[in-house]
Amino acid sequence: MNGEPLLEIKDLHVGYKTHMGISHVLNGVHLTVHKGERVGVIGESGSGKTTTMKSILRILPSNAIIKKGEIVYNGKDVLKMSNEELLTIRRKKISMIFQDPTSALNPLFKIGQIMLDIIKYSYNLEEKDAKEMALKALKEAALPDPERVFDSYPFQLSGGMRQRVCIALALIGERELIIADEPTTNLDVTIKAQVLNLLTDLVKKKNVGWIFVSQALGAVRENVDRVYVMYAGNIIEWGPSEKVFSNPLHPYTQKLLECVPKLTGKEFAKGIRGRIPNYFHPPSGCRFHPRCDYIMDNCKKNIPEPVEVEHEHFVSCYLYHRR
Amino acid sequence: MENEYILEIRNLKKYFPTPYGTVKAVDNISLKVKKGTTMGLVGESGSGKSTTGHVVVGLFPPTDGKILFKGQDISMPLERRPKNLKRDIQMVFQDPASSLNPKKIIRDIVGLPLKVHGMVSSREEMEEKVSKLLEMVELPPEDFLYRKPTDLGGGEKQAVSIARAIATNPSFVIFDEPTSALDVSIQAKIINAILNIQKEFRLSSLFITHDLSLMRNISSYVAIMYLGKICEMAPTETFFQKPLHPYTQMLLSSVPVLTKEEEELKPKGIKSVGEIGSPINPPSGCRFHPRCPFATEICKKKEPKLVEVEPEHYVACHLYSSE
Ligand SMILES: Nc1ncnc2c1ncn2[C@@H]1O[C@H](COP(=O)(O)OP(=O)(O)OP(=O)(O)O)[C@@H](O)[C@H]1O
Ligand SMILES: Nc1ncnc2c1ncn2[C@@H]1O[C@H](COP(=O)(O)OP(=O)(O)O)[C@@H](O)[C@H]1O
Ligand SMILES: [Mg+2]
Ligand SMILES: [Mg+2]
Repeated sequence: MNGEPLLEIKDLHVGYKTHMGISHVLNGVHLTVHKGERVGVIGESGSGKTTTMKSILRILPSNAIIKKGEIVYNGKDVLKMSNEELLTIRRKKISMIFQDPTSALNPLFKIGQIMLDIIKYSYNLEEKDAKEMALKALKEAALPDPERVFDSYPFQLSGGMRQRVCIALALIGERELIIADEPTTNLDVTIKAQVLNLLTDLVKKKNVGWIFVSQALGAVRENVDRVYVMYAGNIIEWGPSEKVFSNPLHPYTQKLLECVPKLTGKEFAKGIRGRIPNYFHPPSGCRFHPRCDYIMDNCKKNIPEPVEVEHEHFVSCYLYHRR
Repeated sequence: MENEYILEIRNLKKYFPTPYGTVKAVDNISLKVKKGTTMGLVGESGSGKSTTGHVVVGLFPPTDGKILFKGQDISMPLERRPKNLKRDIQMVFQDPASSLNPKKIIRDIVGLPLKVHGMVSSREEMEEKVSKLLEMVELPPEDFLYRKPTDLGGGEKQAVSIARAIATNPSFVIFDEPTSALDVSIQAKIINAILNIQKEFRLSSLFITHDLSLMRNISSYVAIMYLGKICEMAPTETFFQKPLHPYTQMLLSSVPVLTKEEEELKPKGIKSVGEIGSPINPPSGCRFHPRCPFATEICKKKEPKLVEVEPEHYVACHLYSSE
């Protein structure tokens, strides 16, 4: 891949302490984002996408335990950073857009106030300059009437507009990486398309890195350079988006894509047998093996080493070890 | 002559008075569902799809207009509907979690309509019938009869609501976005169960969804709704060959897809812009005109009629009216 790595997650293991014991969620996750690169992460709910993203900014809930791994950002391990370094990263370098724009915007404050607080806090600016920056950001996010939006309470805006405000906020200043965790899940199809077009345009224009986390496979395919497929806390396949979607290698990726209804009306699969494992006693070896049609002895014992099956397209599956 | 249509909606209106003005949720729509077919009802959030379903199933009486079921007028409030009709028309709701009583076991939830309609005479008979129903939705009865909804995953809950809806052997079922909250692999299972049930019971249905790809796979006819109106209606195949209304084209162009083949089906040269207007003060003339790239003067002034442009293909747009 061209360019230097901006973010490199290596062998990340994260669990949660609960009253039923420890749930072993992330099981060796790895992921790389280069400067200005658009990276997708797909996987069904509960596969560990949000846990991975929250680890990057170290905003995991208090019962989470990071057992092992490195999160190298611009050459430094986030997991070893001082609070001060971490704050700089959160204020100026990496921003996050969440699924639910309502919860990201305090309902008691006007959009303008929310934006000014964040901008002043991050950049030490005077009120006047901060306001200018905010209005410019709203305009860039294609909000009609930036002045009116600035003067509105969150509830006075539609869901699509609120998400645009979050995008505006996420892109303020000189960000290097935007993490968007299911940013369009609650929006209508036409608004989804608008919001994603806006995000991709801005990300390209500003040349920032972008991690787009979503269960909407088509939306990921259309908007990223490379994609990672996650299953039960593992990255099982990754590569250029075009290749992964046109030539899926892992039995799980294949099944998952077959389950998506097609606009052509061509028949789709009848589901995947079994269900996502419980994380208190996850399956040994490849975590997909209890649901896999091609299971071999090895699959129950070890996690398969990745194999590069075609240029830059990797899969972690014993089916590809035989050759 | 035997009636070819199981459901006929004529000039249906459903208005809700609110402190801010009257919400015209459904504003003069007409549609017919042929026996044994599925009509897909598609449109953005707030277009009036669920309200239409709620009026048909009898949750609210219509503000105006007529609903004929098997030729019989059922526009009266639910209390006055003949009991056999209540049995004959069922609905599966948008949110599976909130429609199941969390304190009851599955056997009693699915068995309740059987009891209410006097279709079983003993507990053994009820248990036997409920077991059959659970098998139809692929929930092994031995695992599920005695569990409570709180122990179930989203897909399993929705399967239970489907089993409950078909318990009374209805001839018409309204499915209101039954899978919109589910993962694709689980959606695939549920849709497959619905397709099997439709065949086995020779069911007619109204299938409400946001997802045009899903709609293509499940329904024989499509109606597209926008702000309380139907703007296009056609047999599914015709619809995909020749989507006519600019709103329909905008919807189609916004669908994210997985293959090149599907991409061909997306209209080019139309981009998603704007947002759905207010159902209290809808735009004048054609309600879509503020978002329409082809809008002219007449569109602001005159509401287009729904006209038949080819057999069974209806569209409400001045571009296609010959006057
Ligand atoms: N009981 C009610 N009182 C007032 N307004 C209502 C009521 N029910 C629905 N509405 C309004 O009617 C309009 C249509 O709502 P409806 O729920 O039918 O839309 P929908 O097409 O099903 O949308 P979605 O895709 O979000 O489910 C909306 O503007 C909604 O806010
Ligand atoms: N605070 C928490 N305590 C315990 N378990 C959690 C917590 N947060 C998430 N989990 C569990 O971790 C797993 C992965 O969750 P998540 O990272 O949110 O997945 P995704 O974003 O892919 O849906 C799930 O089984 C979830 O229930
Ligand atoms: Mg998540
Ligand atoms: Mg609805």
